Amino acid sequence: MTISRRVFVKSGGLALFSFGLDPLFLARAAFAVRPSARPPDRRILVCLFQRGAVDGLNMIVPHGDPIYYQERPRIAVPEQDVLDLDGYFGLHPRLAALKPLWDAKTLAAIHAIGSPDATRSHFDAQDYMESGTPGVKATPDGWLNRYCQHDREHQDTPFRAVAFGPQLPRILAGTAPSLAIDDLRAFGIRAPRPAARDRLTRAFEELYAGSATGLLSTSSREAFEAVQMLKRLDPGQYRPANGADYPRGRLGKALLEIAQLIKADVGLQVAFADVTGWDTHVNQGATEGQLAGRLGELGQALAAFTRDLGEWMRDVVVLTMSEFGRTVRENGSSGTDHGHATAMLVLGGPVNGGRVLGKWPGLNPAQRFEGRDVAVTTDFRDLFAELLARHLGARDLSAVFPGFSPDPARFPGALSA
Amino acid sequence: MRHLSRQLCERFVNDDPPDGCVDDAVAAWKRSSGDIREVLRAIFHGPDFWAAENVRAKVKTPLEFVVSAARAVAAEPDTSPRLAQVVARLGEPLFLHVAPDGYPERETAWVNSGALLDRMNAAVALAAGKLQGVTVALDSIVSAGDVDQMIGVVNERILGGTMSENTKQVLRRELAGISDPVQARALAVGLAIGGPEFQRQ
Repeated sequence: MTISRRVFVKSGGLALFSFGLDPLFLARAAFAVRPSARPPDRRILVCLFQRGAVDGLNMIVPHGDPIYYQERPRIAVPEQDVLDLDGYFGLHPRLAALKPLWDAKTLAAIHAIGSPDATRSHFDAQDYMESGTPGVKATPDGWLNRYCQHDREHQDTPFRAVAFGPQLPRILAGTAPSLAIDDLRAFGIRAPRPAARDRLTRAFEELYAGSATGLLSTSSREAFEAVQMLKRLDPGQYRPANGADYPRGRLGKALLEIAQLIKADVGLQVAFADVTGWDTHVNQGATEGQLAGRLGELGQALAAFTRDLGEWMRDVVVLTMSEFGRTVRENGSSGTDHGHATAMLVLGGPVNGGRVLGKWPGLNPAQRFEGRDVAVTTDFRDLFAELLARHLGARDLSAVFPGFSPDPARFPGALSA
Repeated sequence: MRHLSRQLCERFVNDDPPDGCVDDAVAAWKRSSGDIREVLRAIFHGPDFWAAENVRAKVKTPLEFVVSAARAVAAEPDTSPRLAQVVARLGEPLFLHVAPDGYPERETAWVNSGALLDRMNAAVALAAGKLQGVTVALDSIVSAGDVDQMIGVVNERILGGTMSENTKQVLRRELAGISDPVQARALAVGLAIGGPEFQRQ
């Protein structure tokens, strides 16, 4: 039995015409007339996971609070270095590249956000933040995947949900198709010559189409659909627009590839990437140092991404998340230990920016969680739910966050109405 | 006890093992006061172990894939960590699982489109003798020669006789266009190891 590409492609529900210029052009024309009527299937959510628990207090600095300086004699960001945002909070100076976005009201921070679960284990807390079910270990899938399962209005394309990294993260695990791409240019069958590559690709495609069952069958079909689309995309030729300068390293590369897929209009709706290096127990640094270096890369990468995407950013929201925050008080090694609430950033055209959102609990020991950490005043699910509902147009949030009743009254207000 | 028995059944029988084999394992555990040999014996001799729905139900982990592939082509690993790096590239860096619960047994943890493509690439490289860290001796497995004969040997020696009709047809067609028998053999072996049959235990 041979399966022609036509049958194969059709059975995969792949809309190749979305490569053409027409849909994009039409969409843009539509936006120009009715900017509020953007079709929900063009909106994109990019999630960055700061693994290791970012110190929210040195990212979005409460420089207006003397307790911050009392508790952190060696690692507080000095008042004169903080980029003030609202008189009380300020950006870490190495996030300077984000200040113009703040001023343009496309960047907001949510402070004192986190999990209702008290765990200070990276593993458990990341697991809960990705499963979307704090305290429940048995949840088999991730909340981004459940969103894709339940929101059927957006078309499944091979690139609907993509994680940039070698493995599919927990947040995208589940029955909805999702891709893990470590390197867009190397994604596919490798062979020295294009003719040999095409031939091998076709042979494998037919092997799997004819004999694979279960997950091997669906995953291979997704793989070959994606390979076909990427072949047309020619990712090796991509040049960032508007002089965008992505920092070297995994994050810059991931965001560059996300930007590329967004512009290629291949149906990307949910993108995910990891940013590591936030577990700053020792010599965290202040204006300069370990954390400053990580924040510098993050700020540069996000600024480059925004610049590169230009007009496309009106449909894009970038969300940073991290499993928990860090202790208010510095430790004996000039670092900080595992804490509770942290800060998250939302960036993009639809964002209600230029403000620090969330109820600030204060840094007094009496106001802290267990006397040591920033208390959680915003359940992370309220922010995630707001983005899914108001940005991506999700309707059934109870299916995405089982055991939780998202209430618009508790949404932090990250998006413009 | 029940938890561990279930995990053993997930490891050896099915990602979602039937209650029967878990019960058998638990009973053997009780009988033998936790002798793991008895528990495993109960699993391997139980009716579920060879039940049609459980045979070749499990997908190989990256480690199992690389080890079985290297064995299938009589590959000789060198003393460098390079072959282990292949396992890492396929998603299972050895002894480096982040969480303290060990690498998962379920196929959903290992099978995704990117990972499958990586396996196909590793298979082709291995068959061509270009996979880092191993020296391949295809001659000892299948001699280069007649196409049908090579496909038959690949089926027997590499796929344990599980090669589907579809796979045979695809191999026949792909090999027909290649005049160099050594190249044709490498292609047959690469497609077989990267193909769907070889991904299952």
